[in-house]
Amino acid sequence: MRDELMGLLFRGIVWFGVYVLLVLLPLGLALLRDPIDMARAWSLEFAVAIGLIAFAILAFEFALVSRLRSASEPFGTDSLMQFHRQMGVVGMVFLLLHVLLLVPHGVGLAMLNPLGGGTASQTGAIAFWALLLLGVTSASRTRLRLRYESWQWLHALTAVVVGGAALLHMLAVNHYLSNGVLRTTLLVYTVAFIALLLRYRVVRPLHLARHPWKVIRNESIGGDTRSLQIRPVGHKGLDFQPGQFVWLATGRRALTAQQHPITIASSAETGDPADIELAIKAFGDWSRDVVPKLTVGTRVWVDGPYGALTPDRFPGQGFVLIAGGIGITPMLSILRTMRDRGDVRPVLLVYAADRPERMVYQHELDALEKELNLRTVQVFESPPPEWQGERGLVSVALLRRHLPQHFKHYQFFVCGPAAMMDILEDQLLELGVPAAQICTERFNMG
Amino acid sequence: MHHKIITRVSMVLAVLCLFVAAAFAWLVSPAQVALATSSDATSAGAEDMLFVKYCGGCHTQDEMLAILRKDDDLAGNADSMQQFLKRHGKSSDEQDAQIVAALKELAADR
Ligand SMILES: Cc1cc2nc3c(=O)[nH]c(=O)nc-3n(C[C@H](O)[C@H](O)[C@H](O)COP(=O)(O)OP(=O)(O)OC[C@H]3O[C@@H](n4cnc5c(N)ncnc54)[C@H](O)[C@@H]3O)c2cc1C
Repeated sequence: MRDELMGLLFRGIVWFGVYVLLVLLPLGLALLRDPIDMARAWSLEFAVAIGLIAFAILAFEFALVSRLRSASEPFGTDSLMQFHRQMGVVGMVFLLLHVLLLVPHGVGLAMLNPLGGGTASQTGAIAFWALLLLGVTSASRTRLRLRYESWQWLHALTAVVVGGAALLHMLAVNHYLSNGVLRTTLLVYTVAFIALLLRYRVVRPLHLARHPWKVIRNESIGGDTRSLQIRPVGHKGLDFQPGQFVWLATGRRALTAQQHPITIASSAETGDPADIELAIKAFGDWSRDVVPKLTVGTRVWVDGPYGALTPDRFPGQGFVLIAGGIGITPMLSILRTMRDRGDVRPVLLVYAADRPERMVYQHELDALEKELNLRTVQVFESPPPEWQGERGLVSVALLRRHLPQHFKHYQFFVCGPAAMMDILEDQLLELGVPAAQICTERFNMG
Repeated sequence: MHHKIITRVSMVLAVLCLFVAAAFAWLVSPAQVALATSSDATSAGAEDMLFVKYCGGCHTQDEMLAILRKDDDLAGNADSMQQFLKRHGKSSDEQDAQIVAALKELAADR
């Protein structure tokens, strides 16, 4: 297991190194051009360099979220999504700087008119405005009342426009891109982007279409949550690790289906047939309106498994599982798997919810407490007056009251609402838990 | 993985990119070009290097040649250019003369 962990760490470092290299490579190649031809002011060259880096950052934005399993395994999909968002902002700021720094060099703001000037200025202006649209719609999606799926399509479309227009802009300016090696490299970046997009939008869905699943049970389990049991049709199903998630695709055809990340709640020791259970809480239009209508026999598709929140990769002498709300699903999978494997390592489960009636799988957790070396602490934010147990938010003080003596040798898994995660990530470090022993996953990606 | 670690990694990477861009601009900016080419006398003459070093940041050679050829008054324009360099340029008088002489020669040739 330690070897697997080291392997993951090594892969993480290699992937990150490759990413940095690919972002900076165009600038390195630009140096190959005969310098005597391009003696221009420092600030002008800086503006150009920033523009080249912005292009490379934006070209690889999609790679970060295109479900490349080997790249997402070391970091976790939610972390890659966060990195994607933050590097997107960096790319946008760089592009803005690129334009502003060019102003003193005679590139007037009139260049931002997509209908005026020559090809270079028109394509530059299109890339600029498309990127601005992409940034604004991403930052204010909820304020603009954009459905997540509509926003996803708009996001992909504007990203393609930005990438295409920026490439045409650089080709039209033809300064550093008159260097054949650099031109070829940037064309390769563009082809890689298109290939990833095709894999994501066409190849993967076609693969999913050949491996359908069907709903065999769909029932409400309280707390605005439904338990969905699905069975593989004509194939062996999934080989997953406890705590991992899948993209559940629902709709008429796999190619056009809506896909949502949902954690597998069942044991990784699947039987035959290899059914899996998903617990889905009603949040928005899909989970509220579509999921309840997935009647028995409905065809769905499953892309996965993904995710790094799993004891199979982060072993410990024991485990501390901290779940907030529907964040209980990966913990349930971990506990069910431990039961099926006869794993007797000690586990402390801290399960936080608004009120007792918002909790799910209560009876099963009680049963698991008897079958496993498990202790459960329930925490309610707004408990009924007669509640004698823990109340409020999960905090260091609360954890101190319940953590076992040798907790620093335990592996911590945390999954819950963003606010809880922000607090706990810091507080666990304060408690002295080594960072490498804290594994987290966030359920909100956008 | 931790939210904060990723935020820090993104910030460090952004700063690294800015530094690399600044270093790139410094490497290809006129003073460095002059230095880089000073050991390679065959690819550019000493006057070319002076031009690149002191004028190339803002002007192209073609712009200068057009100024010299204005009104077909090569000698007069060259004198004004030299006076201008004396007043505004960072180069020495001797270097001014070298730059203008080289440009004058080019303007007459082409
Ligand atoms: C790794 C992971 C595991 C998850 N596991 C579970 C689980 O086991 N049970 C559960 O109930 N929920 C889980 N979620 C959350 C679940 O994906 C969202 O609640 C669901 O997609 C909401 O969709 P909606 O249309 O009903 O709501 P919306 O209001 O449209 O979306 C609410 C939020 O959900 C996210 N979201 C919505 N659609 C997508 C999408 N297609 N791709 C990515 N993110 C999307 C966005 O952050 C969005 O802001 C998980 C999320 C992640 C990231």
